[in-house]
Amino acid sequence: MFKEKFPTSPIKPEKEISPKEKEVEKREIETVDLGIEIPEEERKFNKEFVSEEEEVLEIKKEEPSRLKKLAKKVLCSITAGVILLTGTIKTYAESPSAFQEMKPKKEVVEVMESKLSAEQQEKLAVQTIENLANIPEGQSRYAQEQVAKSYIYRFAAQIKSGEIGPEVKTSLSPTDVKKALEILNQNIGKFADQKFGNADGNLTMEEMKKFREKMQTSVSLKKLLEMIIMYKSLP
Amino acid sequence: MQEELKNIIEKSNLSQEQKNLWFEVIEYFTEDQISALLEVLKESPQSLNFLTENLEKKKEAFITRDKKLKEEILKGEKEYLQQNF
Repeated sequence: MFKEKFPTSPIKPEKEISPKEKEVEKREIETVDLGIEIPEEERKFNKEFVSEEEEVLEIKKEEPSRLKKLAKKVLCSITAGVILLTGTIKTYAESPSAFQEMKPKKEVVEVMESKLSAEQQEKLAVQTIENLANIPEGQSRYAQEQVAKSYIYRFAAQIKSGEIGPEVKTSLSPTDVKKALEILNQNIGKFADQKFGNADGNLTMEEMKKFREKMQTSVSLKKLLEMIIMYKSLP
Repeated sequence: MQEELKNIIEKSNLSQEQKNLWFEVIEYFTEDQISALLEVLKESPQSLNFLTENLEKKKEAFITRDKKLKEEILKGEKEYLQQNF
């Protein structure tokens, strides 16, 4: 039976490539990692909308009126918000200029190395993703997202403090959250393999299909993917 | 700041459906974006109607991928900026 290997580690380029090509490659990897397929037509429409809006509003031009500048910012924020709202998150990665304001504030904070072993982190990450996947879908989208965020922040707190349990309390910087999201991202493949496959490191086409369906329909897992992409922009 | 914005929207004469759409979309806004929107609404309260229409049309455009609607939205934005600021 044909089996599709699900990538669980970063894909390394085989040859020397330019920064621009590297960026494109990175996005391709993200697409595979996230298991999300956005129709080409939709991606094209979103991308065109964002760039044409920037052009029409002359975003890059120096603006003498402060209020006009703010109004332009509001219009672009609405566009970005609607794209995120309608679930087409891939455009976020492809149109960084229009989404600069949506990204978390850049803050350089020294992150302490986690006291948890790699194995403990991996186990905790898979458990966290499972918790996200199991959030009841009967609640409103907003409520599901709030619960998802609290699981993600709890995971980040556990990674940072080295303590495992629901009552871990520690202050989190955006960099801490970014680190936690990276660990979660690295373990999405493992979660898929354990929950949708037979934990052999491979997924059949059928298993992959079920996993993708889950990723595309679960509000909380979509929130996770959205946060992974948002926080990737942090240094 | 988000609460202040929600209060303004809640007290407006928008329909409940329109208010809910705002509440959903501002969940994605950063503090900076909320602050920009608050300032625009304070200086130009009438903007809320245009921005709401803009928000509704964008939602429809991104779902239907209607190019004609996209042109209409962008034209409207240009006119709005020219006439109000």
